[in-house]
Amino acid sequence: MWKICSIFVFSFAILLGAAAGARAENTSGVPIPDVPNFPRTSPRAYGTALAKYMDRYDTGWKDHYAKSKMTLYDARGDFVRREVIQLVREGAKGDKSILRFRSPADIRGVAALTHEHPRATDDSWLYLPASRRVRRISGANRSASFQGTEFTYEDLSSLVVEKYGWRYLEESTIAVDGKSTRISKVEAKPNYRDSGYSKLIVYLNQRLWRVERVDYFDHAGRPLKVLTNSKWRKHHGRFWRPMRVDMRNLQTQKRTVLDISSMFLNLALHRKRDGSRRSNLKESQFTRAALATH
Amino acid sequence: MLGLSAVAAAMGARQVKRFSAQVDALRGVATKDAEPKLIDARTDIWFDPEDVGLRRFKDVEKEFIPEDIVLIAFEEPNAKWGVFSPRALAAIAKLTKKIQEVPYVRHVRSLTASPWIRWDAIGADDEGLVVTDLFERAPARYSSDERLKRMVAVLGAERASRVAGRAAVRRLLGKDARFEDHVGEPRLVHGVVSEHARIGAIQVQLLRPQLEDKKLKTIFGHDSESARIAPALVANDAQWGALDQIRTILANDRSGYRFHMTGMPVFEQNQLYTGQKDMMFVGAMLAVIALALMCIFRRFSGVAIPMLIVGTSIAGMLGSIWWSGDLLNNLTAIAPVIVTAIGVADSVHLLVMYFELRPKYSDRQTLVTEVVRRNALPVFLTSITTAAGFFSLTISEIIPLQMLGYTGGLGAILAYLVTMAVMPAALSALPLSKKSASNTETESETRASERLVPWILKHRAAIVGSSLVVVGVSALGMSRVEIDSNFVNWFHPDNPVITDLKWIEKHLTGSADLEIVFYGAKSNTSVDAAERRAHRIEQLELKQLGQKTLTAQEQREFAKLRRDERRDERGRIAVSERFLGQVARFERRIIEEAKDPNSPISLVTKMESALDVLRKVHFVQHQNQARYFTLPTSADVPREARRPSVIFDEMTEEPMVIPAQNGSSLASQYYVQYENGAKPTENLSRLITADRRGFRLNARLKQAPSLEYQKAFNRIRKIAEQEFPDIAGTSAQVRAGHALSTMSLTGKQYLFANMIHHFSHSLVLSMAIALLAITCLIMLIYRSVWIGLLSLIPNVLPLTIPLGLLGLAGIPIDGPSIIVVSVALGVCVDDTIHFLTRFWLARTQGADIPKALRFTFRNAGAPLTYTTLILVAGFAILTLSEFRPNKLIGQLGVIMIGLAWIADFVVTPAALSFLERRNSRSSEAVGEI
Repeated sequence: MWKICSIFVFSFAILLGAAAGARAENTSGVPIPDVPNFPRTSPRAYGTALAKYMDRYDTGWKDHYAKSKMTLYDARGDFVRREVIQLVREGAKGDKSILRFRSPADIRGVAALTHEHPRATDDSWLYLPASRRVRRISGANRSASFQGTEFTYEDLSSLVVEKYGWRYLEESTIAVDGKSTRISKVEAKPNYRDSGYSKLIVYLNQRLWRVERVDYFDHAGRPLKVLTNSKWRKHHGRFWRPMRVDMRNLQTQKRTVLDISSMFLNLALHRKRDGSRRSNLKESQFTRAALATH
Repeated sequence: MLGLSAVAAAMGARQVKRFSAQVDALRGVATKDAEPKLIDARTDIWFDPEDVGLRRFKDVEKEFIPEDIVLIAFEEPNAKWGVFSPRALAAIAKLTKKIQEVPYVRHVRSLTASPWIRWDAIGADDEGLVVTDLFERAPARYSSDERLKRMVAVLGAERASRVAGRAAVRRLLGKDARFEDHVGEPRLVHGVVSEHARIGAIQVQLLRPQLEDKKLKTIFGHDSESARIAPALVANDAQWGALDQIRTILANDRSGYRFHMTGMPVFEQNQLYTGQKDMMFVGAMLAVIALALMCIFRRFSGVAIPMLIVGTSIAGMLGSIWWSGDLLNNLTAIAPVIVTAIGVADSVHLLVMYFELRPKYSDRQTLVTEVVRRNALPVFLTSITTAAGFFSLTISEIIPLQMLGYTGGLGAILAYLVTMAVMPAALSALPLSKKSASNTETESETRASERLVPWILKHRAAIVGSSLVVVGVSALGMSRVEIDSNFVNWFHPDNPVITDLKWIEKHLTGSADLEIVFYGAKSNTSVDAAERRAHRIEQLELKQLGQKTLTAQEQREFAKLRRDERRDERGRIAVSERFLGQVARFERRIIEEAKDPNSPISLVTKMESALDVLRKVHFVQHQNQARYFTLPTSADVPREARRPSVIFDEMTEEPMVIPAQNGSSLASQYYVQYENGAKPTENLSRLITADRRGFRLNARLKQAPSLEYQKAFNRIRKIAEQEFPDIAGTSAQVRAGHALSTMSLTGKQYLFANMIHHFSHSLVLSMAIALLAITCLIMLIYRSVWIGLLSLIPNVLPLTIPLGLLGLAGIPIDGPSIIVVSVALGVCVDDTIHFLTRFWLARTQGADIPKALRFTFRNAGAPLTYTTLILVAGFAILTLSEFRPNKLIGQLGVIMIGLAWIADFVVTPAALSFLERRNSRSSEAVGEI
């Protein structure tokens, strides 16, 4: 489920802060990389450089925990809600994650484990409490729906720079959390086989280095979905994360809103209830056996 | 009047232009010169907005996915591999990829793009659930064994062995393998491949794009009517644009296959295209009428004046409709034909008299005044009765019929006003005749009337008697007339859409959809309250599990919360073990009966639902063991999972109770399992609602007449209600917990079949009202009950004979064609009124019956004959139409209008002659006046 975790990692929230000020508040222990002198020789070169910097920027958060509510709206506005808990461990060779359903009751305890392999097929396992079995799953499509929501795994996965062709488009202004925000529009064309999109337009906030919005286009080039990040929160003075992620399907008028009620990055920087220091999530917590013992 | 019509036309054109630009703006293709949107092609215009079926259809669209299925099929003659041959697979892969890129194509399901979910080896030392497309790579790169493996995966071992040979399948599966363990993929068989693999299909899910209310409000403001019509136009435009692109892709394909395409959007588009082609018949009809006028009057003015009147009336009528914000629909599109009939008839009566009297007058004003004076009453009366006839249609529940009522009524009034305003002015401008009065025409008419009237009077008893017999027999026949509609019969048998449809239905599956939708009880608890309740239950459970005793108050609270939760959960039928079991038996029952060719539900060719998903996941979870190709039940839940357990949150360290598991939780979790790997377009949203309270069973049906559909729908409903009352309860029963769900049938096919029934009912009712109103009006005008009653014979006879014959021959009338009866009734009544007015005039001037009839024949004979000839010629043009309902309108129109002439010249005089004795009694009174 690396794909799920990375909703908070790359694609929806990229990086933070204006350099000097952010450095002063940065308690994460992860320095902010220097802003390079971006090549403006061509829109492609500039777009790719921006994407690479975004990628480098959001590294070093080690692990995270998030409790969220997913609200699925139909075209009439009727909705259902699901609660999920996510655990992610950052890894040099790919992240590892567990997503566990907390509600509704009939799927409470269903848990998915994913070992991400950026350049190979991910390993995934699913645990169903009703069968008490962990089943390995292979080959699930990147364009597959994420648990019936408007998100696909592709939407939730990181924008790995090499997997897209980047092109800078223009500067523009959009409203974020009610404030007019200047953004750079960057086009990302997937160059991998099973993408569900012809292109994405990423709205990058260059001041805070985070993605405010993404427009998705179907294979016919027509607008398909719009993702909007809002209610941003900065963790350890370093990592911006949206506490609300809204995905709206323009063709079916269905919508999924992810509201994150609590989120912790780099767990070792937090304390337990008894005041003792936490440790970071361990490899052993992301195994098939661990999934079954939950 | 010309000015007023011009203003209405200009305002109408302006409104159409504005609306067309707004629709284009919605489509996102705003242009300066938007293509005019004249026709309202909404499906739902045919239904009362409050119609339960329509509301259910809308709900289904909103809660599930608003889309239509289009099937593209072809045949691969390769007997061993069928469509699993490299050539066929390559064609499917190429087309699938291209069609996926067409706008508004939500999903393409085909042999190369269907998910293959199976238990299989993963890597060298592990196994698990594998989800891939059936053919991930280029088909040419698959060995024959790999292809055979996929054939078995789709068709199952038994069917595959019948295609590729038993030995080949045995070799692939191993000598100990049991063929029955390889069940195949039922969702694909008869969907994208035939049982014998000779037919392959590409199933295209074509979205009906939905528009945001906010966007509609921005564009249309408070114009709710436009805001209602526009989204449908956008949706049709999107789907038809996609179909055109798909056709281009198929036309450019070089694989050498002959492709066949069918589906509801294909039909709807064909209907529009054929309808548009028919628009030229309106022009042709006008040309024929002009030619007929030229033959009759042999003067330019004899053609120009009626055509000016007709043109002005049509422009005024269409302008008024568009100005008011309405568009034309398939019914009101024939309004110009109606107005033409009315306008021409009125003009011809005035013109005939004008040319007849002209030689006798030396003063234009006196001549025109005399022409108008003699025609004012009959033209007024015919216009009033025609308008009344049309306005009676407004009582219908069917909106296009209502609109035809308004449009036809308005057209009749406009035609009258334009005729009476324009005709005198136009006639005044014509020069007076230089010739003196010639009696040639009068003499010939006199000779005809001299011969005909005595003959009629001599045989009056036989004529009236035989007419009554004919009416009686026809009425009997009419009682057997079936109003039916079959889309297939709407078009010429050689129409490519029809030949494709027949081919696909013969070789693969039905092309129509029926949605059987089940809804469980709605929850009275808000989502937030349900979450709070679940949290509290969890707290109390934890306390119990922690070996702590609940206080008495807590026990009461716990019991109540549990009760409330169970009541709410009862409505989540898509995960209810009981519901799923019942609906599975219901589905099996339908499939079994559908095999009987004598059953009304033999139309059903395939059924699809979330049951297929559950069976498949259960099967794969159990390592592809065929005995698990069933629905999960509580018996499948391991003993240790049937007790609640506790786990702890890694961060908050809070305990979380995993409730006791059962068949319902297993089903819920299988859905999660499925959605974990399904493409968004293959997800559950088209099968069950997100809250699991709605469950959709989709049935594919063969095309059939609407009456057969009605029988099939009634049978399905009966089976459900009698044999599965738990899943087909009333809303009250479901609310009270006495039934698990309600069941409704819906879908475009269902709505259309029902509409045809309402259509005929509405039309018969409004026709009866119109006839009654007209008869009463005639009684009132001529101050004679007998005349009113006698007028029924010539009014009804022309309509009953053809309809009665159809009824006796057992030939159903295609739904929309029946509106020809309205038009024909208008013409019959007009003829009768013109006849009666002359007759009554003569009688009031003291003429006896033979004299009055001779007078009537002389005065009304020519104009009635001319209008009949003109209208027969006009309607005859429609018989050339490719659109069957229009063709039938033409055929019936010609027959009915022709019969109306015979009735008025033979039956009406004979019937009127029986008034002699009655009138002779009152002649003294007339004489005294």
